[in-house]
Amino acid sequence: MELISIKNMPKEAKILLLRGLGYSSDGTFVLDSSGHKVKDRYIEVEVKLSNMLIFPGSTIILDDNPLSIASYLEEHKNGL
Amino acid sequence: MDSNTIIKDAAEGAAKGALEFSAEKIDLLVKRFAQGDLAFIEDEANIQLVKDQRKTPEWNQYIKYIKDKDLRLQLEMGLSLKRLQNDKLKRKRLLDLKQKILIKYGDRGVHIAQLVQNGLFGRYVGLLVGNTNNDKEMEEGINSVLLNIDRYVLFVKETDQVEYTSKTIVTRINALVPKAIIIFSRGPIAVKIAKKIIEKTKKEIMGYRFENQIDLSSYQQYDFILKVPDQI
Repeated sequence: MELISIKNMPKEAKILLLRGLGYSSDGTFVLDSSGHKVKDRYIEVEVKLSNMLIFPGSTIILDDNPLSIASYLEEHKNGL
Repeated sequence: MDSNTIIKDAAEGAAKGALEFSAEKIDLLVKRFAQGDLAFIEDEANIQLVKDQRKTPEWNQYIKYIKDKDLRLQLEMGLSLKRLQNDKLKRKRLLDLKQKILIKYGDRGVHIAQLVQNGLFGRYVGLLVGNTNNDKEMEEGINSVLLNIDRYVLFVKETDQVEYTSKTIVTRINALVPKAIIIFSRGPIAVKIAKKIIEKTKKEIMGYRFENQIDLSSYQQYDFILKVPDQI
């Protein structure tokens, strides 16, 4: 799997990317298709546009931190 | 606002980023993502950190003995903290990770991670299990440390009362007769309180010896209360 860094991606381009994936943003947080803030499934924090990770499969959007990444790898042994 | 406007606006503020992430490029990325070829990440350093720590001897030494996913993650995050603490520029990431461990696992999870971060986990397992090649004994020892951390490792806070904490330690020693207890303190006030706790505890228990280790660079102190070998 190829990892694409979005660190230098402009905010507007990130929003465009999220829209392409069926999500959106209020400019700070990632929102789902119903307009609710997306929470990191492992640590239950709201995911910010400025610190997100997007993994494929069923489009898993997480907060970018070692705990969430390691938790993802626990579930997806061959991920990354 | 259509796609072209978005990119145009972005280009005004961040020309380089906009060039790299045009609307067409994003469409292509979305298609490749749908095929499962891609993942998007903010900071490559976090993924690299997790990948690197999974290659360390400590990880490989312990991980086969820990079946519980959450205990594995707490130990793993201790290794992450250890790597982050070696670089002062990464302090913000270290504090952020500690906060996230606290959110997910509470104080106990932070304590496990700190034990690993401070390099005490291996020593403590060694004290409990001794030199053994028996896998079952190792597994039991490691999981016992992880599951009972708040019984055998005390993290002294600035607000702790000397009398009460010392009594807690004495009660635990008398009731559980552990092979070792670690008292951890950090910062001048907590270290001072820990010293008083140890002095008081020394007068109350028999059959144990005391060891002290200070890390001046981080102002951390570890006091080990160890059962004397001939009485184990």
